[in-house]
Amino acid sequence: MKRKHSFIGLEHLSASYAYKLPLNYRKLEYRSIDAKEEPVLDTYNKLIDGVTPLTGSSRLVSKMVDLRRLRVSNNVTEEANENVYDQLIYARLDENLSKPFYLYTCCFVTEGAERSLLIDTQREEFYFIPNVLAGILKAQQDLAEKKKPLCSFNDLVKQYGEENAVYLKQYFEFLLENQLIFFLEFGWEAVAFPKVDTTKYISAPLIEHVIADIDSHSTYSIEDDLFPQLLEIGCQYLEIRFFQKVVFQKDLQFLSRLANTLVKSVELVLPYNKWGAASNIKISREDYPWLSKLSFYNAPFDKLYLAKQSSDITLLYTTENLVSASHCGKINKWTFSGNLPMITLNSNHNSCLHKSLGIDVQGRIKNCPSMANSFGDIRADSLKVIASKDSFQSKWAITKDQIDTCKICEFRQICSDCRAFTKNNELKGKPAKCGYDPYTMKWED
Amino acid sequence: MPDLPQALISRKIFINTLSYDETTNEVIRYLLSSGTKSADIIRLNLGNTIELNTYLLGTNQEKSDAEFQVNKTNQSPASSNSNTTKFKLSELKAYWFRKGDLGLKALSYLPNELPSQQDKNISQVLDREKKALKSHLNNCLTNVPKALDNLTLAQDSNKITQLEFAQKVGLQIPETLITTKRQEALMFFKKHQGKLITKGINELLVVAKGIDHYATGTNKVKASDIQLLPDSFYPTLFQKLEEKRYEIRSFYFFGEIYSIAIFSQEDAQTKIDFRNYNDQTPNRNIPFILPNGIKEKTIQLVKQLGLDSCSLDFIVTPTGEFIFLEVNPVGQFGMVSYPGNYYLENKVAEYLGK
Repeated sequence: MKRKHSFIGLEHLSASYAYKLPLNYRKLEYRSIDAKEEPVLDTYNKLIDGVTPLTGSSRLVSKMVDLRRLRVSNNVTEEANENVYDQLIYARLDENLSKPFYLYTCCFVTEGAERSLLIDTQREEFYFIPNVLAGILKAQQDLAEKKKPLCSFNDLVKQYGEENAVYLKQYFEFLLENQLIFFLEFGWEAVAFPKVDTTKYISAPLIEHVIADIDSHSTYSIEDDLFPQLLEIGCQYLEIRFFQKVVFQKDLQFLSRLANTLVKSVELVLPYNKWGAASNIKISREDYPWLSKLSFYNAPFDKLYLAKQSSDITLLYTTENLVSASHCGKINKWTFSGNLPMITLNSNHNSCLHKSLGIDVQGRIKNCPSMANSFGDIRADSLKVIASKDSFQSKWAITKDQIDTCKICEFRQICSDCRAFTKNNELKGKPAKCGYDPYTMKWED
Repeated sequence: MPDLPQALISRKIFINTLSYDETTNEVIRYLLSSGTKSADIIRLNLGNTIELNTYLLGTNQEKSDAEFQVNKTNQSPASSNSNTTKFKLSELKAYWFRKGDLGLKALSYLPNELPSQQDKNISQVLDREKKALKSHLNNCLTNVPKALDNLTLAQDSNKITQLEFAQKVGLQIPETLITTKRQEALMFFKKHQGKLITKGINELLVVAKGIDHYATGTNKVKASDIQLLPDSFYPTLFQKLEEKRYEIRSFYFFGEIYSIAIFSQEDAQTKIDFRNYNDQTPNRNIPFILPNGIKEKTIQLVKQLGLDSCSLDFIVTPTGEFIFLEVNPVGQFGMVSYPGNYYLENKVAEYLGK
């Protein structure tokens, strides 16, 4: 055989050899070593004896900054999205009028006082929908759970009357455009797609989040008093809030000692100073592999630079002067998390305090640094012993359906709550710094 | 002096895996938080070696034991210190073959001399000796109280044998032809109206070119491909291209099956292979329950293959048929665990740690 070949990866082989190989050897496909093209920040963790990626929590650690005022920079999503939507293939209503419709079970419907929220946990999108549509979707879910025959679009038209067909059609167009529902083809499919089990929230650590506050009067040491205890409680996400001047490198060197913990990422809240300007910041990833976010308060401007790739650090600048833990607990739409762990957490526990622990500026061990009740002192007591106590965990059980106003709010499954500052200081009062009224559907300051 | 109770001696967990396997990391996090000491977890990452220090077959079975040492090289770019962990077979309460290899040090004890043709014979025999030793050690590890899969089963896993077993238990499989003849390939192509794929019989070929990597995958067969085939060639697998309504990825764990449906057909990018992930608008992955008949047959199949845990792939066709594709003894299950809220890493840790 005299012919030549141009098979990628087989250049060193003769054509007579290459053509005798299995057919798919001629069609080698490009594979980057990692599935992602961006550099991924991995760190070797000697406790796990494995390489772990920098990962953020599925919910906010603290809620210090009023995120509404921030302009987002480096946001690449809009441009990219257009191409992506081009290739999506949509189901058509007119071809599926008499087939049962089914909400993808990764989507959750929360009925509010005046409107409902449809949460797409997979794509982390929220949609406001009228309560009528929420009712339709919920009724269908109930039928599926009770293993009763499911409705089709045509059944709905019969049920709601021809005069409403035009509105039903609009609803379905919205649902199909966003790939929120699909149509069942076979009888057995009606019992094949169970809803996601959100009745149990499980995670490895005793305490997921630790917030540690420090100011110029603090006499405890984060490095010597807190860090040696982090492993015992399994802490994965750490936020340190400095209410005092911070000198870069000198004051942050101790972060390298996190190598002996299971911490996956660290966020710092600190006063702005010159080295903190985005153009000046030079942080060596080798020295600070867990650092995921720096929030500078008292800055000359308001801006948020989102990390474009995992080797970047998210930089946040706010003109607010966040001088103490009393600034925490701000609830607004930026503090929502629409992922599955968050929804599971909110269904079973308090999403602000569950598996969280705070050390206040005096070194007192609390559910959160902004709360009054102290359970001990970081210098004298074991975090593990304290965090295991029923008294420490008692507020973990306050779910949204026990909280005034929140229980009829459409955001209750994705909201991160705040138990430190509540209306009239009540244990089960609405977060005092939440300006949302589910009856008027308006946000107020 | 009375012997120590077995539970006190046997408390270590030995895991064969890769250093960057996040599933292993998460299982270890669960183990650490439920009381297992870091020192009692011995992780052998691919690339690190394990040395057999001694293996004594005593005159009575009680006295037989082996001592190993794992030589770890820190992966951190900042430090290159290595350390050594010694453990005895009798100290193990659990063994998990997650991924990787039992990288037993053998030939590298010898100085690296260029072998002559005659020396090649020596190294070939030595290599077979190592294989025999490794195979026996694998058997020993399988007898650890809590064993979860093993190297031999994972490496012997053969995709065509799986297809045959699947068919025998009554699962549908895509019609598959392995041939060395162009004429046969052509007839098969015509029989399925040109809807064929080709893939490796059991393995992927990965070719590194500088920093780039190229690999074989699953390819659609075109008419021109058949034309360009020589009359005879290396045994090649052709398979009917099954149309998909959605795909099923299942994780089998000691008789339980956890599944998700992957709606890869709603996106042109993932239509042929859902691993061409679309990060912006990911495929819908939702919990799925295998119909009872399929579930029973699947459990039968996995039991025949002798696996404790594995990943299984199915297709549901537009006409509602279930087609079995393959079993992966060391498959990823994070992608089943997370969207299904199944907490599979916790289940694995509970099994190993108890």
